[in-house]
Amino acid sequence: MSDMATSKVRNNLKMGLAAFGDELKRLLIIGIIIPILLTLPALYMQSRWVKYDKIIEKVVTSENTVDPFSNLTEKEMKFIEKMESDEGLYQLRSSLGFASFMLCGFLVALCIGNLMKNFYGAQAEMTFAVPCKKTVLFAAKFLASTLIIGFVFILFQIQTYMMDEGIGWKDGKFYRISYSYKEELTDTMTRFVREYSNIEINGMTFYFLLVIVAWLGLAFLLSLTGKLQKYMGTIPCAICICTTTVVLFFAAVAGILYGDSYDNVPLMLTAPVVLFVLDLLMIRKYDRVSS
Amino acid sequence: MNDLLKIDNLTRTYGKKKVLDGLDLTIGTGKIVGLLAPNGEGKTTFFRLVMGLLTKSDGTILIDGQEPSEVTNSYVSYLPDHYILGSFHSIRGAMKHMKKYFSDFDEEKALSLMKRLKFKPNQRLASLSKGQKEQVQLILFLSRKAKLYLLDEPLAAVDPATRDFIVQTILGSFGEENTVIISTHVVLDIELILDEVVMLKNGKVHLQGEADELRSKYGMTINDIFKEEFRFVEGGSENE
Amino acid sequence: MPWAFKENRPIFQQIYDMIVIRILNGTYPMGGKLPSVREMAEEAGVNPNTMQRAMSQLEDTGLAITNRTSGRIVTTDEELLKRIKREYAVAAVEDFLQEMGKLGMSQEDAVSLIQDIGGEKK
Repeated sequence: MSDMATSKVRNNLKMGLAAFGDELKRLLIIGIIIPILLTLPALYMQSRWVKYDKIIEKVVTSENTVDPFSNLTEKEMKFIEKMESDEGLYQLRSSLGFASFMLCGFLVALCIGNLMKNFYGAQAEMTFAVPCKKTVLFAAKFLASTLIIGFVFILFQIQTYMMDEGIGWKDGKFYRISYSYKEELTDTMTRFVREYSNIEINGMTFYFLLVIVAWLGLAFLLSLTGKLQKYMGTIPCAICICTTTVVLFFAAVAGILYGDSYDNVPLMLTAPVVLFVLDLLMIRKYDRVSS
Repeated sequence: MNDLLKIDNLTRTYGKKKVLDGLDLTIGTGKIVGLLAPNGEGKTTFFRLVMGLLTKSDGTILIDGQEPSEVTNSYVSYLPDHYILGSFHSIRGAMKHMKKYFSDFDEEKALSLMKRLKFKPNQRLASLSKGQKEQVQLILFLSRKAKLYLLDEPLAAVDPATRDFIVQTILGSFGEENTVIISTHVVLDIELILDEVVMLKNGKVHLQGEADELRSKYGMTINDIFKEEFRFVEGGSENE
Repeated sequence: MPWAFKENRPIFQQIYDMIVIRILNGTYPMGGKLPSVREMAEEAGVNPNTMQRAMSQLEDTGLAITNRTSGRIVTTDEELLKRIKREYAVAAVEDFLQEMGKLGMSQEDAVSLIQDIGGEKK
């Protein structure tokens, strides 16, 4: 008996991994290859910023406090000016940022589309009539989608930093070299110093969690529809679904938002975790939404 | 244990409507069974319940002694009545999927059947006609070495030549150690290959028996018996 | 000869009749091997169980003999074949005469008709 149980667990894991792999493969192009390609121009920009920072290094370490820029060549001066105010570079940065932003949106739409198609649409039989626990399948698909969405969001954030300013390494940590130089001393005498600031990924966390909650929330609503069709007619069912949607939306956004502003991680994670558990419970006894 | 499928008092509701209402059914091994009913009488619901794609409202379902689960799904091959290979690019991709998820999938058999219908593995699924897509799907699910095959309306929209191919394929996959349940509302197509006939009406088994015995008893073809029994419900509401 | 069924009689009986006729007309010769149940079922497009039932009936009447080494063979009992041939012929003639009766022809008229047509065919 325990042998059978072990083989059952092993089989479920194998199938879960297969489903995880399938989902990653499905998202390979839009979730991995294109984002990495979009990172290439950002890397180029970063190499410019590194060069820029090397020139600034000369200014910062200059002994000449009346005119610290005096020891730069004309070429170097031109380069600094270009990096700080060139129209073309600015356009490259903003269009690249826009492309990445669109990509994020498209990816989210694709993940949600996949969810609906796989779990509740015409493909449900292909997804669920396999020798694997439905909870395992659901978790595998969720993890794969989350991983890809997280990867793309973080990459998007890093791209933005790499395009906007140099990234340096100090005390075993990455820093943004923002406003690399700054005046000091008296009216006539100038000395430049670098300023470093932390790399923050927080800004993305809110949107990331929002997307995850949308994914899980949709799964919840759809499985709720599946359950309800067993017990009630279309109209009461619709009322239930609408009410749940509104409550879910407010609770989730409020939780993430307040958690974020008070830097309270457990509060921020409440909505996704609760939804995930609810989804698993509902999907365990799956009811296909009838078409 | 000789009963491959044992159903007791199976009930499933959609809101107030009872699509299956206390259905009792026992089916043994080594049979080709026709599940005959007009549309909307719960054939698809029945299959979905057996596959664990729906939960029952009441009753029991035992497949080879086990309730529907991931374990029973490993030896039940279910061909739905609609196209489900939409997320695959080519025939080969769909075959890879079958191989990955079903350890009883016989790739060689699938390939040889594909060859007979002149399909090539690298053919794009999107380039096939509706009928061809259904043929590919049928080949994939009949190429499993399952204990129980559930075929939901496999002959709904095929031309006569394909019909013969499908019937042959079903016969070729069938043996003493497995059972095939074919649902249809067009009885004529499969009349000759049925061992047993189960007719559903009002969510219950209305009539069950060996095909040849029913022919002797009524002195009619199964098709005629079916027409006789369902004369007043034809064109019933579509809700599966 | 194709397999064609009238579906209101049990299929296995119809198959049985068709195989008997094939044996009588020598399609399946005396002492020859019969194809396997599976082959014949696929060829006829019927359920193997139904074909099996027809085969069992063939064995019951003694027309087919199952041999452990060489499978199922057609009987070599000429007497039996003769008897069965006569049974089928009698049934066919009875049907024929009944039809003729419906047309208002007497038995003698029918016999002379057969002779006329038989003569023309020669």
